Amino acid sequence: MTSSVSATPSDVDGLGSFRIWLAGSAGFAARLAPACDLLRLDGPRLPAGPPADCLLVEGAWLSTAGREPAAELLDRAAGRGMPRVLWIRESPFDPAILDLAPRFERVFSVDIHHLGALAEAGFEAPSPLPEATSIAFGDPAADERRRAVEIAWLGGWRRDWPAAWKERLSALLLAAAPHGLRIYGVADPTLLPGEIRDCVVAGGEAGRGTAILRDAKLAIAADPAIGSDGVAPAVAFDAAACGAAAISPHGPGLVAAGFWSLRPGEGIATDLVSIVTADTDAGAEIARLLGDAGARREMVRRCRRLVLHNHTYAHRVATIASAVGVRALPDAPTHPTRD
Amino acid sequence: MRLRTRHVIETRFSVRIRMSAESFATEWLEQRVDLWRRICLPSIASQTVEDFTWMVFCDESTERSAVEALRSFERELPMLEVVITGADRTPADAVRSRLTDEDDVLVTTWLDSDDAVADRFVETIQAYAEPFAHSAYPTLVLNFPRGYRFDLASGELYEDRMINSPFPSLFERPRRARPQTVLETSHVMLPHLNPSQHDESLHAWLISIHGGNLVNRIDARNRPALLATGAVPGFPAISRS
Repeated sequence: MTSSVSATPSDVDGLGSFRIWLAGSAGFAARLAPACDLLRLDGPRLPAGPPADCLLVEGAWLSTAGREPAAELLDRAAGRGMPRVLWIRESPFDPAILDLAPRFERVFSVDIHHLGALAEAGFEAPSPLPEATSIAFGDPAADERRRAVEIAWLGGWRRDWPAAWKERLSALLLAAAPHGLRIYGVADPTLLPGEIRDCVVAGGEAGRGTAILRDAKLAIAADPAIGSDGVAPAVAFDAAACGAAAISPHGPGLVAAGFWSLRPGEGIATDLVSIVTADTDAGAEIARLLGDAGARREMVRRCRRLVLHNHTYAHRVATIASAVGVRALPDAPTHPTRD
Repeated sequence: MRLRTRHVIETRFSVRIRMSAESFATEWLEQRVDLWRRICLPSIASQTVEDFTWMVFCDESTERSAVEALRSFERELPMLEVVITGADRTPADAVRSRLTDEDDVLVTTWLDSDDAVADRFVETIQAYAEPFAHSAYPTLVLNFPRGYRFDLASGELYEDRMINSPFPSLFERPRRARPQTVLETSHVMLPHLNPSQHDESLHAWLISIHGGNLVNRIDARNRPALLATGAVPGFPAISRS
């Protein structure tokens, strides 16, 4: 019988010591920074001094920076021995990204439908990496009786979305309208189907997403910018953190992110988030959820547990760290994890 | 103080999931022994580290010839231990019986008898023992989302991805709570019940596709693995067409 193994030294002293140089937006930096030692680059230049453990590039930054400056940045990082990781957080993405495949060690994308094209372009092991929640789980879910909004949508609509996506999302919104739908964060209601414009709450929601989700019984978890069912939208994770049940048209993305469970004797159940497809009677599903507080509480309980254990930005940083050979774990949550 | 980690890889070879299940047919056992010998065993033998135990569980009703066929490899593979289970002796009981008061961390890893793992699989798992021990997590599930599917009939290899693959590892603190061990919970539910880490550093596992596991098929998610040669990096015993 073999005895215990000796400790294997970590490359870093906890995930907080994992150093990332980020070529990306300020908003993206804000989501990652609490979990690691992150420096957001000021333009396509690398700082002096010891190289970071990883150069992380946000997909949209590549388009903004331009191909040549981006290529030079990546080459300089390679020259200093830094692993280079790309995280594509938009869909569709700029096809010019594909030309830069040889300059990255790894690529991740929020959209599972990207993986084939990325592999064909020569990226090494393209992998899905969904958004997550950056909302603290500190407070327990608000009392159901104090949630004043029946069903909330935090908005987001793009003219250039595929027609099929607009149709799917419209069907869900139209089904929600008779049940007290409130729409926030839509600057131009004329973009929306006429039947739901009265649901728009004037004044928007900039900065109030958390408060809205804490006040809603049910949230429509539709990505505000991405019209693809291959993503798991951040709002699905945020809804769980805020104690709101969620209904979403992003079925494949949510299933790929693990939003399913096993029910003894019943098999696989995609019931942590209510997933609607073209064949779903969304109105009946919404009525069922709004009419059963116990069912909503159970959905939220299981969803919060899954999100807490798997879907914070600290988890994403730990996954990125592993991709460059660093084994480190996020800080444990400060509140109980067991039901 | 030096961290003491006990790592046990657990393989259910012929374990009754339900006590009413029929006994294991001779032909089925012979096929399973063959798969285990060709696919699973070489992957454990090729691990880059040796400090672990590999428990292969057989129900007490398993034909002696099959058990002896498995045990015949114990000499050449010192970490291998064929363990007989029954109604009053579960795999978890067997694992727990090996613990000592000095063990800080117990790691149990799920490995099906017809599957394989990469040569750095165990080493990579063990690299998380110290971060876990120094964390505040009561438990941790480690998953490797990336792997392969290997069609034994055609010799074709495919990329595969499962966010919660059937190769999880459960990290526990045996001095704080009675260990559950990884086989006691569905691998699908482990990330629901425990803090989790998904390691993207390697193609960690290989699921074999054969006539006996029709639920494991090649589907639209699986792309042919783009490898330059017939050898599969990390899986020295696997050679594709």
